[in-house]
Amino acid sequence: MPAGLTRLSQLDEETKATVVDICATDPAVIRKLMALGVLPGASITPLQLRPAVLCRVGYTQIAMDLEIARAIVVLPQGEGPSDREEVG
Amino acid sequence: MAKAVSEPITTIALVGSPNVGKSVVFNALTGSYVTVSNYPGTTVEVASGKGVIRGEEYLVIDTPGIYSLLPISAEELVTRDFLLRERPGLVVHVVDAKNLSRHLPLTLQLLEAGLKVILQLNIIDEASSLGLAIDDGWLQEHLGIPVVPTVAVSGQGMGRLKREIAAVLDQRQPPRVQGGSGCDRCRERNGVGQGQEGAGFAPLSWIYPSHIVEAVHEVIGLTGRTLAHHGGCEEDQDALWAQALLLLQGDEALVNIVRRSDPRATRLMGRLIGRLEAHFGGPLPLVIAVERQAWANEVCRRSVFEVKEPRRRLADTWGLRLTRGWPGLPIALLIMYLVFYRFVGTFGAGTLVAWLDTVFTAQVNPLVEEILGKALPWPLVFRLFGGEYGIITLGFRYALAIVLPIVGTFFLAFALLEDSGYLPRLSLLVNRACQVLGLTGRSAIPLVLGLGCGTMATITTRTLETRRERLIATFLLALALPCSAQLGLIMGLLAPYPGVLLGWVLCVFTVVIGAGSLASKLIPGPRASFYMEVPPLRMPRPGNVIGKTVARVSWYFKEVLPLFVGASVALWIGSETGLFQAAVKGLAPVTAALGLPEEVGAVLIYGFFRRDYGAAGLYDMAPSMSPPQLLIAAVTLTLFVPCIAQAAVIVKEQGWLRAALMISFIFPFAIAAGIALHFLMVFSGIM
Repeated sequence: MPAGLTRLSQLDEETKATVVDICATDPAVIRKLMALGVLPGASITPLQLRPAVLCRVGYTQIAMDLEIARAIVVLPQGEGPSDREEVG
Repeated sequence: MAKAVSEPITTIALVGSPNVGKSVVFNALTGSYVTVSNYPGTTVEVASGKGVIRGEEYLVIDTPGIYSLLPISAEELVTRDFLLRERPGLVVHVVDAKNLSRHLPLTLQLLEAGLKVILQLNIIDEASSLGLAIDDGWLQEHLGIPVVPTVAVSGQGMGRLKREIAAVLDQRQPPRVQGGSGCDRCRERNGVGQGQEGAGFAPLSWIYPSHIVEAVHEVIGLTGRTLAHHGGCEEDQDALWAQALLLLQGDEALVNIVRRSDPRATRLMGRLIGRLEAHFGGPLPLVIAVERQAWANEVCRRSVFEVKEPRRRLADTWGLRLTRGWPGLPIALLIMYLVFYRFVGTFGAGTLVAWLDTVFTAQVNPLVEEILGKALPWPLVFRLFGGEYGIITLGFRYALAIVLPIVGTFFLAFALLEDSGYLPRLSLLVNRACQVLGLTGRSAIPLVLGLGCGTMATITTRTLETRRERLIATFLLALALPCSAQLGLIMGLLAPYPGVLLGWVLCVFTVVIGAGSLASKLIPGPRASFYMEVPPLRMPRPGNVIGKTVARVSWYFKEVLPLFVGASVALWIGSETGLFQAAVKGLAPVTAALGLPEEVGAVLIYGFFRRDYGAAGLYDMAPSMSPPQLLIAAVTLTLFVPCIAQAAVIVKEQGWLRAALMISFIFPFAIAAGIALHFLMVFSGIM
């Protein structure tokens, strides 16, 4: 995996990141994430990792199991712009 | 459905993802009530109702929630097929205004499919409290469709929505030209380009890369005739476009249709998809979704503005606490205890039932018997209405005095839980535990609903994603989950003996866990994964909660009362002919093996008609039983066959074969479990 990239499941809570890729062979997983607005380019912030992953995408909270969270490749934004730059 | 669309009445379809308030909009447009709630997946049947707007009658259809035209679950397929095959006269796309950019890709897909669309920016109040302002004028101008901000629950903006609906339907023009054919789309694309710069923003110009547009043409060439023949949309180029695009994305239902009638086209299409995926370096559904999302983000960049700092709500902080193991789990247990034990059990099944039953036995029944005694001088007919198994004295009493208060309190509590947004949080919490049973956290909602009515819950399993999960959930609902009437009565009966109550809970839990984990090992198929949108915590609106409770209770009674009456008649025939007594005698070896009085055989027969009927029978018989006998009877009845209504729904959802297998397992299993429990207690010296 290129430098800086990691998986959503490995981020710390409250670390804002940008979705870079969805690494799933199962088309159903991709379809689900698409439905929830988790697409390359979207901002995502994990709010909790246990007992299931809960994250914020735009103004929505989305729950998913660890397996799906592992399929999401992200780039942490560090001291990036404010939380609400991504609208809607 | 076909009937619904036939001329001259115009169909208005409400479309949108789960949890955006479609059902509230439906109520506002039709004046009727479908159950509406704050969690994904309540609308499982396509509900339809008639509404009058400006003196003209319309048929309004409330479709199951979809995120995109590419379906994930069986119920999403229902909506998709409805939109592309039945072609409603108007689609109201209901969206959650604060998440506009997530919903716009579906608006785009609806427009691509050539449908007339109104975009309804619902829950606009939540967007405002987040500090967002949405320029609906800009959207209206650039999307070329009416855009209406609303707060459906309070009625805000609904007047304007109706006026816009009337205006659009008055025009009676063919769908907006957005490329009436594939060639137009190409021209439009070539002429306007991506159109994302400066004043030339043209959101509805073709947004996909040319490779994809060409591929869609190719797919239409390969499969157009098959699709047109199958879907009845020969005239409709836009519907063909939408379906060809779905085929490129590997839509299972459509691919299967093509495969059946034209294997060659399927092969060629497969090669085409392979080439494209190699070109784009990723799966096509993702490539297409990214293009659509880029367009949606661009639209939002120009129409959604942050004007204020968001207000921090107390509910948001609490919302996050509820999903963590601590303090989430203890709170979940507390809520379950309060709802099921205190409210449904102690209050509904205890206080209310005792009071209503006294009213019936002390006042209604004697009165009925007196009146009937005069009006019906023939004892045989008298007993049909007023005797031991009389329609009024037994059927109505069970339905109104014993079942109604329990079911009513359960549905009231469930509506509160739903509307508060708690249930998805519960799903998240129990996801891990559900995985042991071969389920996901998503199943928690049907399972909790099953504690109210197994029949209703079995219908709701349709919201689950895989066949395997639907099957396991249906099986557990049929086998081990007590319905609210059983639950309430059993808790009411066992409340004086905490040890017995605990024993019953343990037995049921053991069976659920044992049967679930066994089923998850035995039933083949891919494991379902868990994902779910978690709505914000909201204060339930009393009107909505009451409306929903009334709607569910009346659904329940429409279902139940005829069965109660039918059961009374069947029992009356049985007892007049002596068959019933013979059957109870015939069950004597079974009841003896269970260590129960012979009369309990009657309760088992009741239970066969309806679970709650059996539990109500147990209620009458309880005073003559010892606590261990109560435990055996309670466990056996809980596991015993699902009632007729539930069995019918299982057949409908799972087919005859699986339903028959399930029931032929459950019946002996329940008796065997009761007998095992009996022996266990005899050996351990409890009995």
